[in-house]
Amino acid sequence: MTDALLRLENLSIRYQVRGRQLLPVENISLAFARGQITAIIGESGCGKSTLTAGLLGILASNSQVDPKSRIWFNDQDLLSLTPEARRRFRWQKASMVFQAAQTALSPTLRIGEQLIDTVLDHEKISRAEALSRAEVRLRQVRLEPERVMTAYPHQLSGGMRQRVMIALALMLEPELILLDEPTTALDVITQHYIFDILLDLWRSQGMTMLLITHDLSAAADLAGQVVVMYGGRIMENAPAKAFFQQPLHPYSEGLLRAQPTLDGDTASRQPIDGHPPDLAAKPSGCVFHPRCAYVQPSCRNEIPLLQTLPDGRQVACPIRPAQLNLPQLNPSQLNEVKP
Amino acid sequence: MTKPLVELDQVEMIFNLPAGQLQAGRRLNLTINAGDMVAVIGESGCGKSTLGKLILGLQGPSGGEVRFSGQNIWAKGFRMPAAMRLGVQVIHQDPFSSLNPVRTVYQTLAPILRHHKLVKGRAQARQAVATVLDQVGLTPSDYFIDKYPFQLSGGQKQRVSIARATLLKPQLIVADEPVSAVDSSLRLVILDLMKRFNQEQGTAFVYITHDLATARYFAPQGTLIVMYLGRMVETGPIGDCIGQPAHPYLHALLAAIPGSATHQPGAELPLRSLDMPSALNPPSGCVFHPRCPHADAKCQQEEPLLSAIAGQAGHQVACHYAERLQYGIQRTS
Repeated sequence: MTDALLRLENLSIRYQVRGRQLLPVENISLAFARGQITAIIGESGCGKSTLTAGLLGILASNSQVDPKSRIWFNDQDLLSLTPEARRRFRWQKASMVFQAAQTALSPTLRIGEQLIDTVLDHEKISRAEALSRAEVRLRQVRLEPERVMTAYPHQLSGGMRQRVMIALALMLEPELILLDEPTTALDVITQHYIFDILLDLWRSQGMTMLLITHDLSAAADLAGQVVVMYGGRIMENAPAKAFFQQPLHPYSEGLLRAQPTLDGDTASRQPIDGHPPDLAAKPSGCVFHPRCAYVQPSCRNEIPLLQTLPDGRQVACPIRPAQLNLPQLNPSQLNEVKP
Repeated sequence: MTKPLVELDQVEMIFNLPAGQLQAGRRLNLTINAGDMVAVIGESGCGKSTLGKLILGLQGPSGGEVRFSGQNIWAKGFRMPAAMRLGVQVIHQDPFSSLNPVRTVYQTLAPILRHHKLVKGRAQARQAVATVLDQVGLTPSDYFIDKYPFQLSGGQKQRVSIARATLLKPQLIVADEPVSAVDSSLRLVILDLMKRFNQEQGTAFVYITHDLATARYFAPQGTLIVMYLGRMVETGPIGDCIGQPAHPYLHALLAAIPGSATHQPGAELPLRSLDMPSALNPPSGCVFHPRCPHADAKCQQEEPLLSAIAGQAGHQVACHYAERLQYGIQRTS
């Protein structure tokens, strides 16, 4: 990728839990293009939340980032920053819309206070300026500042709180916004509206966004690029259009087939057999092999590399893409990205 | 003909709260026969869980009758026979909180069998529990029988919930959002399991959800009920409702669902306002009128009643202008 805002190099994050060592992010190397909406798709326990916490530097105290890991943001290694510099970076350069808007806002402060405090903590501007900026941001997420600024979170609906969260994330004009399951607790009509707002912001301001979700249809609506995580590793990284037309990794294929739809034959829908891996005792070789329909003996022994295909898609499976007989696929041209 | 398992007849459900009266159910009419598959959809706060509790007999209505096998279960002096009470069971949304954390799978399931004298002694109880675990796919049962809930995944816990609900071979199970806490690759496993009980044992199901696509997967030949602010605004065979939605609310809902035939990312929804009004102070006339793009003076004054749509068996809608609107959805595939 030519212009990457964010690049992960061999990122590994460990947890110690009651004597067991969990590896929810395992040796991930990945680049996120500037101005792109990328969806990171995965089920619970795939490591996507740990990955985002690692990006922002808000990991739990029992975690440990591998010393060989690098997180490049505009050619600056975030992991080499001092805690104070990291704190400045957070929100100023990269902000986050948290999943639980019900609990992510302080219940005892008015919305206006929360927005203004955020600005004043990072920038030396007057209160009046901060106030007017908060009003602009609230209008951008289609809320009436007169009504919302003086309200407490409990006086707002779930959809309104989530929009306040987006306004809060925009306050310092960050280059990157992380969206952690931004619509999970909301109904479909509110979800549609929130996506509409996000797409509007993206079109008008060209922000880079990372959408963390387990919902494939949300990714299909919003994202230009799709990254699939499973068991702490990247399974596939592809442009959204190509991904939804023909997923290359067996796990991606299984996920798409496990989604019920509003038309077509219900008999064509199928769950993935088995269950997700224990992050403290991952299967040998390919982490997906116990559930894979195309498993080969080699899958049990060797961890498949994330390979880049000639068309730029990346996939961590040497078996399935070859079977698909993709016109561009030529094994001799495959160049490896991961050691 | 045998009597319906459960009937709701002009049921009203009003909760008196400090802030006022909350109408969680208005004019609810519903008949569930043996082996029926019914899906209830709606946004949070629309009264779909209240409907579930009324069907289960857990909540006494403020008006109207709830009948099990033709008997008004809330009639004065009526004591429900045990067999009738056990004939309806529930599967809760959240398996993390609906299973007792300090009891193993065996300790959760065995007391039910013992209490109802279906087994004698520990050996028989273990054998019976093992058989049930096999049925719900927790195999090998030896491995799961002595596990605590925290040792199980979300999908496995929900299988234990299904085992608990099916243990006494009920005629009807109300499943309230049974898969919303389950990983997407495993949702269909849980739905398939419930479908199998319907096909093999004729158990009727009421599936409460906010997800129309899983409702269609679960009950492709079943009945759909669309709830809005405590009212049933549309009901009918699920395929007809999705292919030819009659109520403007269902039409908007379908347009909002990614992947539906009328969905376009970023396009405006056919709605006048986003926010659902409060059930404490519902709008006059048709409760949907403040959001409806077709509403006029009549809709503000007169509440439409659920009535049949000409030419479509079983398809009913509560809209003054349903005939005029005619949302036939053209499918490309």
